[in-house]
Amino acid sequence: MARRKTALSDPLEVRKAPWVVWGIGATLAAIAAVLHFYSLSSVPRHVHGDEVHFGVQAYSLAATGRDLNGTFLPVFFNLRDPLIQNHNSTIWFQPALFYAVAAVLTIADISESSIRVAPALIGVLDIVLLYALALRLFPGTRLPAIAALLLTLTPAHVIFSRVAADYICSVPFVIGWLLLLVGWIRRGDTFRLFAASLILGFGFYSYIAAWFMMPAYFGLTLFAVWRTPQRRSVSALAACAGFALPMLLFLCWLWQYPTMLPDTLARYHGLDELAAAPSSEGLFRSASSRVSVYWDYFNPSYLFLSGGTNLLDSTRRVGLFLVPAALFLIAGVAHLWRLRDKTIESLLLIGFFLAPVAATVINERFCSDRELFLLPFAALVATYGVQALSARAGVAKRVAMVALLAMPIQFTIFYGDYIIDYPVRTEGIFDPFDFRQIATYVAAADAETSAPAVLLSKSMPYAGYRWKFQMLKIGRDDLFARTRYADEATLAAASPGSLLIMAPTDDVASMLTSRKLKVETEILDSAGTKSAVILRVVS
Amino acid sequence: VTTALAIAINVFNGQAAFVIGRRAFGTASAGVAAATLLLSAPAHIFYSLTNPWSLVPITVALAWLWCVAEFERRNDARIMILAGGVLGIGSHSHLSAIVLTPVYLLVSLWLLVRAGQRGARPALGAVLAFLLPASIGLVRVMLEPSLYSSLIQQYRLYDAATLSPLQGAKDFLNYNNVQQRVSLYWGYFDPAYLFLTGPADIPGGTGGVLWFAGILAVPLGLFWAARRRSCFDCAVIAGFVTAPLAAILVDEAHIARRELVVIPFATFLAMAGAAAVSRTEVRRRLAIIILAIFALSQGAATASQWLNESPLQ
Repeated sequence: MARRKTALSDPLEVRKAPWVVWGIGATLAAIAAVLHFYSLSSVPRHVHGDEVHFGVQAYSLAATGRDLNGTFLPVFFNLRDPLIQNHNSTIWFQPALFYAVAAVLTIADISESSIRVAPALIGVLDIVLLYALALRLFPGTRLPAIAALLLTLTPAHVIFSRVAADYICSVPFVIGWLLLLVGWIRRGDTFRLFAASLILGFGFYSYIAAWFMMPAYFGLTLFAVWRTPQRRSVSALAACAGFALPMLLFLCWLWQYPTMLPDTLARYHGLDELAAAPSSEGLFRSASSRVSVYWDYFNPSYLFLSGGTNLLDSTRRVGLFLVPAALFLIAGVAHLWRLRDKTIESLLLIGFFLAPVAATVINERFCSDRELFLLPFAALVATYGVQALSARAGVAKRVAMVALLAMPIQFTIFYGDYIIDYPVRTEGIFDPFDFRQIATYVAAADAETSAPAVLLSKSMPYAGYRWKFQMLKIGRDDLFARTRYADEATLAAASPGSLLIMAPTDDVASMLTSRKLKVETEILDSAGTKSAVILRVVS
Repeated sequence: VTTALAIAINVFNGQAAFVIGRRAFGTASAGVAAATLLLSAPAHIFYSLTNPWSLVPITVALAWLWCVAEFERRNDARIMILAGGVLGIGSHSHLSAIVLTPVYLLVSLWLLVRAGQRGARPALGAVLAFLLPASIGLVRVMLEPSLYSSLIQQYRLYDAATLSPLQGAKDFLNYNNVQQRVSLYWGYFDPAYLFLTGPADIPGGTGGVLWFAGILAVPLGLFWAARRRSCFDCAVIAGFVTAPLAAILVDEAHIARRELVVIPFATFLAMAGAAAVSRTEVRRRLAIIILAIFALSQGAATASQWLNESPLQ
């Protein structure tokens, strides 16, 4: 037993032929690329409100080096409504994905697919990085390939890599940090430790949950330093320097925009509740509620059967992970628990159980987008599970083989549903008004009879960004320049021929009786349900 | 009648917990601690005051655990046959017992095999001893078929008016329902529900189904019991993890009265957890006594709150 453990935990003893290593890496990247890029423009069918934020701001960044507010290369993006002059917004977004999308938009036109290229590439990068990391953790190439495949076949990873939202952005930072940290633990090269912490520091700017998780992982880095006997103080200093450097940007930005931090924290009600310093009973209830939320992040139904509650994040027909992954995760946790005296193994185990902390702090249940830090840890833990089960004889080994073979089958079923049915099920959730159809219609109508103004109903969320995105896509800046929100003043001033875009929930009937308007057309979704109504001002 | 029943059940449960605790942990003080823990569990107190009949499954579980502890001591298969009989009679005690007693019977059969009693006789004896009293219920359902469908309708398991039991099972086991039941099952082990803020059917308290101290002691006990894996440990773990099986048939989360059987199993796990933190026998006893004192003080505070301030008044 002791001999087997030693052999399993010392991968450097096993030689790995470079061409095999590179060949497997390239194949994995190709598989991931196919899964992440296939039909990117139409799956999901529409762009969501968050996606248009990233697209529109990144377009401005790519074109001018400034965001829509005119700030040159901002560290955080203040999302003001592009249809409201001097709009005062309290919404700040993390910068990583804006710059990644902007890089793509310097060589491609803005569209549904081009804004999703950056997250899809991040998804592929995750697979390659995880493979590189697993090569350092496991002997040979079989287990590293399984680790990368486990991440590739993770439904949540596929779903989040195909939308232009920054949820997935933290994952490569976490894997990169682990890769360098493991390198440091194995070789004791202080520069790697510095680089690992530096990556964590930059990862802070990847997604809002990283504000909690990156410092937590920095704590894990210090834990690793503490577990290592040599040159602790030098190592700790290198780690602190690496993490602190990127943090300077944050401090400078806060100095310049002091409201950014309170604005951002105020958006998360769970934090308000914590900050309000309630009574001891309130504090007890708040803590209990968080214990319950944390517990539910390991709910097997959520992890393996249904996924997050939001249809944007899940098909609701599969969990974050495939069902057979449950077996490997349980075996992996048990195996790592037995190896907990080793630094890397204990880091992975702690990292796995630390993943829901950000979501727990803000008291949000089943919010998979806030918990994607779990994915790389889960892939590695599950690989340890595969290793442990395949090292056994008899039934356990056979069950593990069957479970491994079942994974691609379940994934195929999931992917088929995701590509074919999911876009139909979620079209009303990604864009309930179908702005793509509205824009196509309005552009054609304007070409036929010029519309002096386009008025957008205020009851359509993200309408300014959605409209700006569609106008940029079809190259109709002129039409956007004529667009305003519909209110008493703009309606009264609207010249005949102006177009008014209303949500289906707006009181169109009373508008038609009280003003000189006629119904131009109704926009219907693929199921024939009304998504929007376009009216024209008549003389 | 209710008060008399509550007193009788509390006396029996306390006595049974004492006997099992003394047998499993080897000292009279452990027996006293077991009885204290069991009777001080907030849910036990609440249902003693409001609906003592729902505590009867605890009595059945304790009787079964006593059989298991005796079987472990004597390795006499006849005790498991007795356990089968106890479970068969116990299946009539409460609706949840219809689901749980067959589970305990299966565990008993597994324990027989595990203890090296491989012949068919003891297992067959235990099954027959279970079926004889349990089949009275089946006869009753056959004589009065509407009883079955009304129960199924009452708990909304499936549409018993239009579907046969087989169709009902198929309807019940659809993907959405399965994921919902798995989620409910997980929720019944939510530490906040078990140890902190409590169940949906117990008003006003600040405690859970069990004692605050259990949040550390029970997981620790589970860990140690899983490592030690004696016959009694296995029965306690099996009882603990299967406790919500009856509760999850109904699509409601965190209803303590449907899984009150968790209390005796958690009691012995918590004791095992407390004992695990120290190495010497004296300290082990002390740890168990301290745990019991914590539980007693919480139980006293909870009982006083319900009797003096809460809507129970």
